Amino acid sequence: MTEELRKDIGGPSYHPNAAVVDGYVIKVKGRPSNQRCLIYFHGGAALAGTAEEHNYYCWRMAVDFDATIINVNYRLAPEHKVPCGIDDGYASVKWAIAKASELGIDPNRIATIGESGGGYIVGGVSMRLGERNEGGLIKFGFHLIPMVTNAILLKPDSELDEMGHMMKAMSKEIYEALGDYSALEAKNFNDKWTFTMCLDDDLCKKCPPAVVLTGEFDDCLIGAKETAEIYRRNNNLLVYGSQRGSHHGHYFNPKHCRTDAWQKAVTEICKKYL
Amino acid sequence: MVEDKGICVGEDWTDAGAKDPDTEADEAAMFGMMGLVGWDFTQPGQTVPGMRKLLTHIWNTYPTNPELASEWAIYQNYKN
Repeated sequence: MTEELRKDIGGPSYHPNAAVVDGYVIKVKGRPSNQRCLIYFHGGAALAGTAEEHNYYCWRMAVDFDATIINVNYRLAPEHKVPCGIDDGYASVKWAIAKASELGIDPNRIATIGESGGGYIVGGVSMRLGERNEGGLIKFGFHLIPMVTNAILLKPDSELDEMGHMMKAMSKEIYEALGDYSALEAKNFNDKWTFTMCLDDDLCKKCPPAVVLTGEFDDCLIGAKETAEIYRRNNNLLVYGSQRGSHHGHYFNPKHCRTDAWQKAVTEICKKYL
Repeated sequence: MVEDKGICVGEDWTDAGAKDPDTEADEAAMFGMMGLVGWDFTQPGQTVPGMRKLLTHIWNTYPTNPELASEWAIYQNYKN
């Protein structure tokens, strides 16, 4: 495996609100150039985590998918509010296309992939591409267990169980960090750059196709279902799956009983459509 | 775009209506960690200061936590 730290990813040359960020280009040694490429956005609610911490999962993706992985350190909240992370993600896609020859990737076989907060970035990047009529630049956006919904914030406390209270408390902290919470509340939490399942049909049609995978007991299940439904009704959903009996991020645990089946499906999707 | 309904099929992709034992164990560990840092969600209106710290802690401990060494070794095999 080769793991190259790049400090020149994206930036304002590719989007005026983007910053030049760092990240890792991960390849399996000895593979030919012109490889398929996945641009990865790590989880952490868009306010925590680093690319480096997630390199271990990228190693697995590189091997399983026979692909180059670009693991991007997009900017995080609260220092960088919505949509900074999304714009860094968009710029990283454009950067990868511009640098395809140098990176040894096929510019026509690029997709985005991200989990949880990174799934939110995937949704936002798809919208940026869509609004610029660039949805065809990537093969698909892979929304893994995406953290994208406003549903928990709209639900009364009286209807919540212990897990619901936890999710509402966490959501409040997350969205106070990502943006102006009072302004979001005044708009009934329907800002599409914060809650990407709020995108409208016209924009959805112009986005790259979506792949959405979640778990039956994923804390973010509602948002995944909402995202899949929007893309489905606009004839832009490639695959949807909800894995039996599983929870948020279960597949990072290689000993979880569903991890192999999860990885098999993700790999089949990437090899078939990228 | 035609939705591909032939990949996520079968027992693994059919709702069970119950959590896997592995899921129960993982979630118990998560709530245990939250308890250690003083989070209590049995009542509404709780706040969760330090979310970045908690999430960062979860990730940082993965490669260094001795209890997860065998899991980490599997990923190291991919790197090597």
